[in-house]
Amino acid sequence: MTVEQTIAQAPAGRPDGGADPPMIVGRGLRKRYGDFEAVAGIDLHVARGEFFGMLGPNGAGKTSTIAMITCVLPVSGGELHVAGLDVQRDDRAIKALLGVVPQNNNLDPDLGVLANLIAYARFYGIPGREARRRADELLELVQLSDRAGAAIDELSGGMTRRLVLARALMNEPRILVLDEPTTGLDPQARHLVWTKLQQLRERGVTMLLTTHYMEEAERLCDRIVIMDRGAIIAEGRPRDLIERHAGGPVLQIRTLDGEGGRLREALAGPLADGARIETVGDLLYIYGLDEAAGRRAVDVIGDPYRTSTRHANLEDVFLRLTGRGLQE
Amino acid sequence: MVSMTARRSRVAGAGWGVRTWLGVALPDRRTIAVVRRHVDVYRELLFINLMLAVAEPTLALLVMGLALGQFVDLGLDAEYIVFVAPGVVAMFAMFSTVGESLWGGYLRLAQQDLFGAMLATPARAEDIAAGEIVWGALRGTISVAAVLMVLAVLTPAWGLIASPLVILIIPVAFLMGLLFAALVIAYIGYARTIHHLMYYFTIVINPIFWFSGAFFPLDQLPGWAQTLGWFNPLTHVVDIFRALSAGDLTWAVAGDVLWLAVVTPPLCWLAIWSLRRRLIR
Repeated sequence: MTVEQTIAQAPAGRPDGGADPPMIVGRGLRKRYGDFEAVAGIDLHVARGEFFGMLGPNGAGKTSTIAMITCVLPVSGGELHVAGLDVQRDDRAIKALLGVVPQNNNLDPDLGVLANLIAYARFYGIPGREARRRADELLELVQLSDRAGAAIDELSGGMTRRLVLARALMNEPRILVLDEPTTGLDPQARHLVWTKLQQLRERGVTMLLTTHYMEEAERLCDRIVIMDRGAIIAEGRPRDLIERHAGGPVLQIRTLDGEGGRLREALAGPLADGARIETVGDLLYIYGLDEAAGRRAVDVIGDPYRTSTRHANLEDVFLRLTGRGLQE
Repeated sequence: MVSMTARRSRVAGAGWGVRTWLGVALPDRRTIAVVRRHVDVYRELLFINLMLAVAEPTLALLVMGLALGQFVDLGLDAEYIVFVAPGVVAMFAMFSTVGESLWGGYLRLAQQDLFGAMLATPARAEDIAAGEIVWGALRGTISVAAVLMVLAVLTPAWGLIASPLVILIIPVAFLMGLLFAALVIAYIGYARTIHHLMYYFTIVINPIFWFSGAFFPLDQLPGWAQTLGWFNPLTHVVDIFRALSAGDLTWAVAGDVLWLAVVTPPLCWLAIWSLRRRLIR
């Protein structure tokens, strides 16, 4: 059966008759490498057109999950459907619907910018002339038209990343998988990538993002999951997660050498019930403060230059839930 | 699902439900996309690539055939250069294939993550491995075509080619290329560093090269050495090439072709299995 036939046979809607089938559905999904369980039975649900983020510390199971969704690694247990197709059977058909921006820039260093896109298009069976048209259009989109003939190693980090994005779009994917798409980019280059992603999203492309930049997830994602040790430990809209797990303003205190433990004790009294303290490096973060408790805490420190107040963000949620602040 | 037929098993990013042969799915048309990528790269430096393909064997022929040949008397009727020319063809075919598949293949696998990029497309590990094998074979075939042209040019002077059957060397060269490319790809699935490639070259390729009958007839060696030579793929290739350029076809040559035809498919399977095992954990 050809890929095209398989896609045509894919279920057109949900069993309950809804018109919009989810793009990614996982139930009890597992990935094992020998004795080590990288993904320990997770449920996933990504709607069509959704911008979905997966966060988690290194080794949380994000990359393994992505590898199973992109049909690169076999599933060890559970079920996984992408666009209504089973990853265990219809890998070619699913891969034809996906665009992948991998963590590493694995462009073809032996071919030029345009030639990279043309060579890639052949794997999707895109005819030469059509491949050329799409390549020109995409180079325009990622602002690399004037570099069409350049060698890969002549590109800057930002240009390389944009070319990887263009390559992922050659097959006009319905789902774009972004594995740390802006790691290592300078702020301008990141903003350019974000703008392109938002444009694509507006065209109805479903997005699956992993990132270590909380700001990126907060800005782009409709919904995120936070993974840790192979499990999903939180799920929701970024704003709701912040509200639920970090609350309003955060008091941030820079501690001096070795005084962290003493300060935590000293603060325990003045802080009202419900306030929580996290240690992150040489910083103490105090969550769930009311104004009076905040003033009392600043009095305890005595030095106003070492304290500051800011709004809670996704990073606070991440640090609290994964316990990274406490562990390291 | 698990109780499906035994032939259906876990495979390249897919699981139960994809038909496999001893753990390997059949490659499909994406194999051609892999090969065409390599052709694109080869064409970028086409002139240099072709010049090298002609210059190297010309030098080798002149040095071995003429310079060395003055001191060699094999007790045959022919000049040494006539004896050694088909061996030179086989030697360059093997080195082209091994060079491309060993160094190039390992580079693409381990350094460039090119196979990782290909796996993100509808291609499976099987297609990538098959594409690598076919391209390795094509490199060998290109080399053979180049050396044959050199031989044709030199034939009026030294009578290197005695028969139009010589043209059949080209399809045999492709078969031989599949064999050697598979032999190498099966190994790079296990190579962990670039040094492992050198070991392979020293331990596997060099003995194949020296004890193939390319430079001296094996039938003047002791019996045990001749037996060992029978297990050397290059021995059979050299015998075929020598027979075709002399126009001296015997049943023994049919046996050599059969040897290659029997050994190559399992090696191709092994190569695909090995690379798949490396790419899909």
